[in-house]
Amino acid sequence: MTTASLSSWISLAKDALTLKPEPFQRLASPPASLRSAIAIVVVVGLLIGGVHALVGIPGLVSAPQFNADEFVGQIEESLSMSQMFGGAQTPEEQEAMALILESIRRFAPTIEKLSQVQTPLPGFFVRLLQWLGDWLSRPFARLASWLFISVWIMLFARLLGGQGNLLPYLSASALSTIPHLLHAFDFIPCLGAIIWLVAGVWGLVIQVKAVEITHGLSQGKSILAVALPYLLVFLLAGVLFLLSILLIAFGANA
Amino acid sequence: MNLNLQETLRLIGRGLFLEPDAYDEAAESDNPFVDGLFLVILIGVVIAIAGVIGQAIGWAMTPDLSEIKQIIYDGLLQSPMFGMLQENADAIAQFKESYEQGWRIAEFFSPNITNIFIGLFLRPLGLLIAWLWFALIAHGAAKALGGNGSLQETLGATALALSPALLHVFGVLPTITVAAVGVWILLARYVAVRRVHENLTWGRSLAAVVSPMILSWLLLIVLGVFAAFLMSLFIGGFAS
Repeated sequence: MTTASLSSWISLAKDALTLKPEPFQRLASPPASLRSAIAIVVVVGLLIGGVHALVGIPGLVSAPQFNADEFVGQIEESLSMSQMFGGAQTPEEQEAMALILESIRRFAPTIEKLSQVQTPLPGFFVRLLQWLGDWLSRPFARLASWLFISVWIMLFARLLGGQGNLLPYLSASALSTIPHLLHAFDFIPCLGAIIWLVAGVWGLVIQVKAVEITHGLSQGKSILAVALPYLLVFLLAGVLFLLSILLIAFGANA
Repeated sequence: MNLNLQETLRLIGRGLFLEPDAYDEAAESDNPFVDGLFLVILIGVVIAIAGVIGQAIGWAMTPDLSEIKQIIYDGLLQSPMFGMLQENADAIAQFKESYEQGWRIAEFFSPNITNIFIGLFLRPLGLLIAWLWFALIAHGAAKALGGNGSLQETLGATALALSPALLHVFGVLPTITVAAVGVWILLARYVAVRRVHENLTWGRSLAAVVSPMILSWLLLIVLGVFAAFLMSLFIGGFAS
C-alpha cells in the first residue's frame, strides 16, 4: 500500500467518524462489490487484535502459572460476596455451600496438575499458536457481528420504505466498525465499559447515516431501522425472562 | 464456459465479494451444473485439506486425554462430595459409567487419525449436499413465487454462493475461530437468487432464500418428534 492510498484511507475513516456524507457515498457507489467494505472490517479487526496481541507478548514468553491457593481464595471471595447479597440463608443451604467450597479446595491441586500436562508440541509453540489464533480470530468476530446486525438493519430499512440495494448499504455500513477500533484499548482496567458504550453508540450513529444515505430514508426512519433489531432482541429477552420467572413461580407453587 | 483453475479461483474471489456480475457469469455458463459441481468440489477439497492440517496441528496442541481423564478422576476421589457418594454402591457404579461415557464422547471428537480422514471425505460431501438441497428448494420456491430463472442457472449461481465457505481454510490454524461464514453464505445466496430470478421482488427473493432453511428446521422437528415417538414405543415395549 502506498503512502498516498494509506492517507486516503485515513481521511476516509476520519470523514466517516465525523459523519460527512462523502465516505458513505464513495463506498456505496459502483462497481458493486464488498471488497472495500471487507477490507475496512478486516483491518479494524486486525488492528484491535494486534494491540491485544502486543499486550499478550509477555504471556507468550513465559507460561502462565496456575496457583491453586490463589484460585481458592478468589472462589472464597466471590462466595462471601454472594452471601452479602442474600446467598445461602437456611442451615441446609449453608451446609451445601460449605461442602461445595471444600470440594473446590480439594480439587484445586488437580487443576494445577492439569495445567502442567504436556502436549506433543512444546509449550511455547502451543502458546504461540494460541496467541496467533486470538489475533487472527478478531477480524472474523468483527465480520460476523457487522454482517449479522447489518442484515437485520437492511431488512427493517426496506420494510420502512427504504430503496437502497444490499451491496451499497453493506459497503457504507462497514464504516460503522471504525469506532470499534477503541476496543483495542479495552484491556485497560475500568475502561472496558466506557469503550463498549462509546464505540457501540458511535457505530450505531454511523449505521444511521449509512441507512439515510443508501436508502434515502428520513433521519427518524433511519434511526428506527437501526434501533428496531436491538429493540426486538430486548423485547425477546424480556419475554423469555418473564416466561422463565413465571415457570419458576409455577414450579414453586406446584 | 469450462473454466480453468485460475479462472475458477478468480470467480470464487468475485463471488466472495458478492459481485453481481460473477453470479451472472456462473448462471450463464455453458453448463452451470457441471461448472457448479467443479466449483463446490474444489472449495470442499481445499477446506478439507486445510481441515486435515488443522486437525493434525490440533492433535499436537492437545494433551494426552487418558492422562487428563486419570488426573480428574483422582481429583474427584479426593472431593468430599464424592466421599458422600461412596456410601452408595449403585451411585458409584452409575458415576463411573457416566464418567467413562463422557470421556468416550470427548475422545470421539478430539483430533485423531480417524476424524482427520472422515473430515477429508465428509466436508466436500457435506458442501455438495448443502448446495443441491439449497438450490433445488430455493429454485422451487422462487418458481412458485413467479421467478423466471432456470434450474441450471440457479444451480450455477448458488454453487458460487458457497464461496464464503472457503474462509474455512483459516481452520488450518485450529486456534482461529472462523466466524461470519454462515451469514456471508446467506447473503451470497440472496444475491444469487436475485440475479437468476431477476423479476422477483426483494421480499420474494428473500422468501425463496430462507425457504430451504425453514424446510430443514421443519424436517428436523418432524424427525425429532418421530424419533421420540419411536423411542417411547421402544422403551414402553420393554417396560411392559
